[in-house]
Amino acid sequence: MENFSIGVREVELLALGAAFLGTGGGGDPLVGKLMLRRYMEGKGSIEIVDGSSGKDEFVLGSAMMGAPIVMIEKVPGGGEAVKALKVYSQIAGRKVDFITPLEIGGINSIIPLIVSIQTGIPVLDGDGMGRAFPELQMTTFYADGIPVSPVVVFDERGNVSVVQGVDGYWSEKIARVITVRYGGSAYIALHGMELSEYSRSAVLGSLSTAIQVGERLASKNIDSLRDLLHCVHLFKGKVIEVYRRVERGFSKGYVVLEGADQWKGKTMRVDFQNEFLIAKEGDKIVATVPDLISFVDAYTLTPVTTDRVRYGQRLVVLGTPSHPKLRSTEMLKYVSPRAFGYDVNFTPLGAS
Amino acid sequence: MIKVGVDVGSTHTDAVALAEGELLASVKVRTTPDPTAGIQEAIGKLSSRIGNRDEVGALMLGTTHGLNAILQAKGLARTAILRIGLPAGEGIPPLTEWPARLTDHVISAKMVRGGHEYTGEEIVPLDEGAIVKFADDIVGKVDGVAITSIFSTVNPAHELRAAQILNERGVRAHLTLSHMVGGLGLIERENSTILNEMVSPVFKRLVSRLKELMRSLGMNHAKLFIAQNDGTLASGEFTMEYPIFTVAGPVSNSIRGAHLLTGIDNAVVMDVGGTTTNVGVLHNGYPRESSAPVEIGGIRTNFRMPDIHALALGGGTIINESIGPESVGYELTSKGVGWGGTVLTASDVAMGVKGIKIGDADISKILLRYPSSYLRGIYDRMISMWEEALDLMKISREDVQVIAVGGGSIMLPPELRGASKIVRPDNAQFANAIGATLTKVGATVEKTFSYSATSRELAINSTVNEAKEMAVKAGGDPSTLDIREIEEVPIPYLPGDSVKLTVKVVGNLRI
Repeated sequence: MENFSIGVREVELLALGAAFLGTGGGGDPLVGKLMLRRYMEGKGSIEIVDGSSGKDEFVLGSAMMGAPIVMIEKVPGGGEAVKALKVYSQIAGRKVDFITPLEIGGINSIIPLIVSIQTGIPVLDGDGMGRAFPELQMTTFYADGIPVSPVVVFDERGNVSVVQGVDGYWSEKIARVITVRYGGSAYIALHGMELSEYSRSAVLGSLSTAIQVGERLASKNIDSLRDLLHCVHLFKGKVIEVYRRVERGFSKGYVVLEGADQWKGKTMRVDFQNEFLIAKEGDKIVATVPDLISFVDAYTLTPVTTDRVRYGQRLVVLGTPSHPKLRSTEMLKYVSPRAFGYDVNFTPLGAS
Repeated sequence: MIKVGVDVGSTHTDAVALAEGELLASVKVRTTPDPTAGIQEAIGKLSSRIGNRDEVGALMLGTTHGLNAILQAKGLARTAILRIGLPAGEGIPPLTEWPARLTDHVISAKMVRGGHEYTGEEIVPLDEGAIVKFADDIVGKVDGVAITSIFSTVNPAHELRAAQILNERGVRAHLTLSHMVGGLGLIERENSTILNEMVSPVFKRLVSRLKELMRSLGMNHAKLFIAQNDGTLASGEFTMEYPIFTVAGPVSNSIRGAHLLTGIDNAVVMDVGGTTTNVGVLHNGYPRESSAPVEIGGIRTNFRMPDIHALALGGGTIINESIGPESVGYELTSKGVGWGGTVLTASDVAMGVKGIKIGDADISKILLRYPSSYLRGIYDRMISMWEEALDLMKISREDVQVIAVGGGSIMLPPELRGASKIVRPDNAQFANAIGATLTKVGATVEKTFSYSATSRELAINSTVNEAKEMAVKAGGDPSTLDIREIEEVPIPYLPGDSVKLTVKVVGNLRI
């Protein structure tokens, strides 16, 4: 891998690829994209740096936390994530050399780039999930023993909270409550670490992969997408049922598809909790989290999010094997179907 | 009572007169570049065929005025924009990525402190001083002001107060407050609010000219209604306030018309016009709406529009190696082969193959120039195009009923793969205009609630009441209002069972 820089076109592709890797969740990247395009005007490009080697440079994670639907109404002031980073830097007494996305799926692939274009700090080509997950402790960084805290939580008014949880779960729980009190969305800086730790722990290359995914979706080339991600064509069909409810702040439910083409006469049910988590063809489980289950429109290949799935859509369901790091015993404690409350074991793609 | 329906299509403007559901008269004229002229011509011609014009109780119009004005940036208001929400929102200022042809009409765009959270509490107090300054800057210089505050759909207090301040400072311009336009998503709602203000003068002119015309023709008791995006009507007065709700009116009319002409509640509607076949879905008597955000003239808005697949295949579609997408449009009857012209069109092919006659065309002119096997080959390709479009819009694997409407619907074959049957109602060529006369008044309100803070019952009741109030403003008869749809969508990552609640109501016209 090597360093490269990205412009407006790549941002567009990244947003598209991030929507696919967001596996139905992760939030609409439109607001982030509009902000980023505006900040990029006249400034040119953003530097993306290979994070696979290094030692004592300091890396910091940057993200938005909370409800994407709040973010599309209470649009950010623009400087929140940068201010969170500065406060973190002060507390830690370290200059921030690189920024990393925590997750590459959805809106949080874009936030670090907004910070980068405003500060000039380069972004590392990697993240802690290789996809999107709903909670802070669901990262490879945390599974590798790198503490989540301190978490600096910032809002557009300038309110700042510093969370020092005893572990990842507490950091998540407390930061979540603060975010709600801020009005449902906040901007966070967290997971400070040495570049040497990052190189060992991150899902490396995920940012450039997301751009390539976007490129292949944009050119409507499903075969080349399959070659890139080694993904499995799980199903093609029409949505015949969508069930949703809210439970503990998460949108839970399932989608049932009726098969077309080679799946004619078969049905698939996909359960979701913000993201698509478990895919069953008939009674047989064919894919589960942490492997990626993505829905794309059968004609346009546009990724379809859990909140936009509706009766009558024609969709293709693609399963992408997760990064080997996500399949480790330690990581599965946080991201297996059981971690999401399902009485189901992780079934690696292709193993059933 | 007589009702007059008028529909502006891309090539033709139709007008019909109905008494107790029976067609009295119909007129078809060319759509003019400024659609008002065509509308006036159609109503004028129609009026001469109506005996007692005093009996005309309502005139219903589906028109592209709003869309045309936005696309051509003509006749727009000098607009000022006020966004309430700082310190939030500065990341994306008003008019971000708008085309210059529209921003040229903006006199001032200002962001001030204020706005609300999803809970309804203030982000920060409203900066009244900044609004006073804004008012003094724009007074006397603008036709309209678009005011948008963050989460105003939850709490409109800051928008209302801002309107009051503008009034106190002598700003006499027309105002649009975003909470009345509705919908979540600040940028999309603000865009819609600004567009609403910009096209407002176009509708003021249209409504006053139509009223004048109705008076001059002796339709002294007729009320004016205009078709909205969601397949309902609103009064002329309401449309002057909220013209943005009408930009997709004609498209909805054809789907409503198909329902009203056949009595069928669920079907796929194929509206074959001069340049396109618009394929939409009739769901429980109304157009199925698209879930994707809608762009109007390149600007992202928050309207739910009818889910339409526009296939570039209509009566005037030009046939050479390919079928379309160009069309001769309203010049069909001079350029088409069957009419003595030199351009082979989809109408010529259909006439040659089916042996039908459209208007005063001469089929022998077509068969003389083209072998029937060639025409058959083209027609088979046209059938495949229609079948593919039908398949795209169907909602289940089972065959569906298809309702064929529009001036070109006679071109359709008797059977299509995927269609259980094809119903072509009488007067199908006037479905849109007839549809307009038979439809209802409606209103849609979308809000967010936390069911742990507000009981579900209270939330639904208050939203239903708000929608009913709006429907009455739009010209509905209060005693006939009915709930058409209640939709609840959970909002993830928020506590307390937060939902987005959408309520649609419909009722009879107050005539």
